[in-house]
Amino acid sequence: MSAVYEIGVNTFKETIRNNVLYIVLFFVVMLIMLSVFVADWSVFARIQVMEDFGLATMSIAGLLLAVFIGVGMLGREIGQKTVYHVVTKPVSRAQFVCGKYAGLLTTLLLTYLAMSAVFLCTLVYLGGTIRLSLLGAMLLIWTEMAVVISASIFFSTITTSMLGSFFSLGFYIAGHLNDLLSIKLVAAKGSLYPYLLKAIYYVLPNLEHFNVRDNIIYGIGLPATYYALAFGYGILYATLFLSLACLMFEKKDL
Amino acid sequence: MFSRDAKKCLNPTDANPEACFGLAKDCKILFPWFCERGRITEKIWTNAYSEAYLNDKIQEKGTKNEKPRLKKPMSNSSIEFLHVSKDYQRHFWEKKVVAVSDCSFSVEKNAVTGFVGPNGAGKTTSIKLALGLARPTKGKVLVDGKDPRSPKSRQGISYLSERPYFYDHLTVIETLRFAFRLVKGHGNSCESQIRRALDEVELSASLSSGVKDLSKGMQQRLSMAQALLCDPELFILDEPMSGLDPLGRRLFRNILRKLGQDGKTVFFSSHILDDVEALCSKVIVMANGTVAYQGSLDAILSQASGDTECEVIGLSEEDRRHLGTLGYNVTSNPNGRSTILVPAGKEFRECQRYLYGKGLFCESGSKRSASLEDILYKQQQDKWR
Repeated sequence: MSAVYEIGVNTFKETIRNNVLYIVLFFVVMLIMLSVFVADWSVFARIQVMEDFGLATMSIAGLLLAVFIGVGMLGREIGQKTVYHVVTKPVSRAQFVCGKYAGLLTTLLLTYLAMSAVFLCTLVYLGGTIRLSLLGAMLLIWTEMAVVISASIFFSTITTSMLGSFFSLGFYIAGHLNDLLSIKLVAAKGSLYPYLLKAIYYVLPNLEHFNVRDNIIYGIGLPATYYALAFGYGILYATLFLSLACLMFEKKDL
Repeated sequence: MFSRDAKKCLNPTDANPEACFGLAKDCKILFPWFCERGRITEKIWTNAYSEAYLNDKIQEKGTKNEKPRLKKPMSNSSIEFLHVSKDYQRHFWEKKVVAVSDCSFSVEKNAVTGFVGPNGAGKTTSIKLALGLARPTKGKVLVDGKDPRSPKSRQGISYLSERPYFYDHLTVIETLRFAFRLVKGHGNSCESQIRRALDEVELSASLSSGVKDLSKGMQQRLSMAQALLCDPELFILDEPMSGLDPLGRRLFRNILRKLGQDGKTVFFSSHILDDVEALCSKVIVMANGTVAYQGSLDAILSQASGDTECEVIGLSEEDRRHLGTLGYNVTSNPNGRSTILVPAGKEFRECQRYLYGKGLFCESGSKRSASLEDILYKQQQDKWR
């Protein structure tokens, strides 16, 4: 456990000293603050537009950070062979992967908290209120990030950084389109096609479960159990991808 | 579960292949390795690893009620390669590259062993296999009787890579703290050990410098400092002297010599054969992915006879050319003398006869002792022929 902690702290230091993080954070903060003007131009209620714009910005920023820092980090470790510094010590490969994940997740959590603080302050400035459902939506965005990072780490163990980034982006898009598959499944005909769709539908996580922006904007309440179940669903998938990443990394020749 | 005969059989010194084979046939669960092959050779049996392998298998397959209590083998080898092969194939459409082929050697405990060979001989791949960074395609690698893939086997091992690979975002002290904590956690002696290691490599002045601000030689010193942390028993060093200035080389030589005197096991690869000759008592020579020689350095040096040199006065240009065609290397010196170099293994008589016929004599002669470099060079040339 100590090794996981040490690797996590080192990863945290590495990402916190990475300029990409601050550049993305700067643009996100600027975008959230600019949403004040966007809300003014809108014909809809200002608060609703602000909430929608803010949550969407945070979700995309989270995706970009998760994909580019997540995939690049492990790929760089292997490419630049800094991984030798760790795995030649009495540390298992699984500990290394888990430590990397923990460090990355902590950085993204802090970044996310900073973004959330700016978002909530802007919202309050415009006269909005901080509702529990809004906090729930933000928690689910972070959970989605945790899933995407774990998938990115998994992809980086099986392929190059470049391909890993594409796969991770594809995973994010496919995960959000997974709902459409269920509709396609009903109409699918043929001997192989329905099974293929079914396989994709069940293997890929449905990332739309983490998107509750419409409910927030239109004031459609969701029970607390929904948030709990979606959170659990995300943790389950993150654990699954992380386990697969550990397995693949264990077999990899460095 | 084990009869007295079976236990006796597990002792490599009492090995009786026939008797053991009989036992092995009866105990299919315990001896899958033997049953797979259907035979036991004396060579395999008397290797200490057979006991280590059996111990592993017994632990894995032992029945619930009976726990076999067998002592760990008292092997004198720190690293053992047993018929190890390693192929690489980057993509399935590419041809396999054989990096190491049926390679067997052992690194003796408490000795400094040099690992030499030309580029592409399989030295770095072998080191990677010993550290568990890669897994062998065939054969078995053991480090202190354990599989190097298990983190426990790396408890007392220190590694210095060919090129220093450090995290750019860390400072010197952060790098060493990180290395220490990965091995020992938050031990009290962390800071004192770091200071001592930095003093040893003369890097104390750069304590708070960023790793990326260090020169290559200084990074190499930092690599050595992190290798010295936590007082390991086994040092695996891949080209430790590369990128060092003469002072750095001397410093590293002294460190390695001291480690050898302290009874540590040092296994280091190097292209600088003078260093190997100066520091090692044992040597393993790799060529084309296999072991060309392993044993004591003295033995390999005494096996090869050196070149003979003789000085002659009055050698004409024509004589020089003629001796050159006979296979002798002739160089002319400014003082009118010529030096004839008779390569090791070549008869001097023919040269003598020619000189005698021309009325010339050897003024002085000496036999040079063969260096490791000469031997490896000759070996490489023989292979090309």
